[in-house]
Amino acid sequence: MRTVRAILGRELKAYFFSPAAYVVLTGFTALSGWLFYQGMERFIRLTTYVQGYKVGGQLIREWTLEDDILIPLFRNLSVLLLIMVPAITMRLFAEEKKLKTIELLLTSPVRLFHIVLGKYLAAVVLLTVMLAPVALFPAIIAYYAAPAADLGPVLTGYLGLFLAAYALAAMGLFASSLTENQIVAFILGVVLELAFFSIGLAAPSLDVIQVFEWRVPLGQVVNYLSLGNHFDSLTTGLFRLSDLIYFLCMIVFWLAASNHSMESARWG
Amino acid sequence: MIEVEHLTKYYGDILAIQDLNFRVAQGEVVGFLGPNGSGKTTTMRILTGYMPASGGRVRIGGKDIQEDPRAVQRMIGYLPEQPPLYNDMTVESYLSFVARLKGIPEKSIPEAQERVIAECGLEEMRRRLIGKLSKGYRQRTGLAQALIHRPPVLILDEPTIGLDPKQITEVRNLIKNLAGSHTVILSTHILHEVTLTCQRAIIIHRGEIKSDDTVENLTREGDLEHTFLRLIEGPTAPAAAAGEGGPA
Repeated sequence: MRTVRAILGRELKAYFFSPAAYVVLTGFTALSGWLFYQGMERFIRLTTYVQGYKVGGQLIREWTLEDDILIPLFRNLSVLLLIMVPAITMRLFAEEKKLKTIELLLTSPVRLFHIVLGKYLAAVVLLTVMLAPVALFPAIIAYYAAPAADLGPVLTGYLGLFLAAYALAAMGLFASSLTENQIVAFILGVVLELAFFSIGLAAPSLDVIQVFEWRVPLGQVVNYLSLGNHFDSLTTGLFRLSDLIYFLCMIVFWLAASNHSMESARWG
Repeated sequence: MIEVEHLTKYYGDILAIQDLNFRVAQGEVVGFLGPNGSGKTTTMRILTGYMPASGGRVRIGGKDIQEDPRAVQRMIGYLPEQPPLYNDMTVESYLSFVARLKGIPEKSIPEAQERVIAECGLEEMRRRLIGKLSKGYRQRTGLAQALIHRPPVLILDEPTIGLDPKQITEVRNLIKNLAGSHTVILSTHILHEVTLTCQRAIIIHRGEIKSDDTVENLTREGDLEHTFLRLIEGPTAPAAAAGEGGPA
């Protein structure tokens, strides 16, 4: 555990003693503020013209602050994460390989997995700091519209942002373990994360297939694998154990993959 | 202290080292000599547990590197060819980070740090960022890193490369002082260095050991340079090549 702490401490110093953390934090906060503001503007425009969401002249539902500002904001932020997370994780292993400092880590009497975990936790801390100010937006809404607001979906959506960020960070760490080039690690990270985020889009066109004895409903499998789907289900206010398990599995799987990838890189 | 038996390493299909056998006794300083690409770095990386061998075994202090890598790694201080330095850290914070990696108890860290800072002459640089240090001080910081946990075995890959003559003398003296209390393997292609710091030299070429003898014996029939060239190029080495094989 001491190794994990030592690695975590060093990585956090590397983030916060360089412009990296500040660029990421400022960028994300500024963009999310802008998106929130645009959402508000749009909401005000919509509410002045029509009362609610209409299909064929019939009112389906009224505009609400959660459904029409906060939930779309969270969805937008989850897309923003697909770029911010690899930007944070790209250096974790790639830089060590480039600078050959990985030789110090791998010749020290420490377990490889402790190194992986320390690095992952550093990304998690930075992401937590990055996402914390997002709470300000629901707070603003709750403050000015407290009686009307139903904050259930907002809370689960907010939790979903964190879970998605942590799962994406594990994927980004894996991407970083594959190369010594940070730009390659970044692009690999974006591609991998985008693939997992949007794999659910393929679901409607996939049939049940026959694998030996088993009938595999490919569409359902793909839906279950899709990070975007699990995130969306959280933003509807539904807190299901299966979503939580999905995110935990993703984290464990990609951390194990990173560990394996670093282990096999040793063989030269 | 160090026992290497039938050590072999392939990179894919390429044979890097082939059936190396040697032993290093406690307190001995052994020079690892060979032209570039002869397998010196590969051998050192296997000894330190950085990469696994394709075959053979390595035992250090009676422990097998495959079976108990962490026990072996605790006994080794390693200075790779390119010192593993983080440019965004100060010398002090880097050394305390390494101390934690090496498993030094928290309360002994300041003491260990002071000791290596003094040993490696880093007092004036302790609060400098490593990225701003000159090559000589970077090399010393690398050496300090290898010494911090008082390892009985030191493995140094080209420890004097890129240093100025004064610094080279200092590093050599430091290594000489370590002899007796430490077992040292150092690689170099500067032949002169071996005669100055080592008792024994292992000459390696194309992944094979060509000679393993005391420096005294190797220099008996003329200087080490001729012996070296005779061993790696065969007895008919042209005289002109001897001039090029100097300390470069």
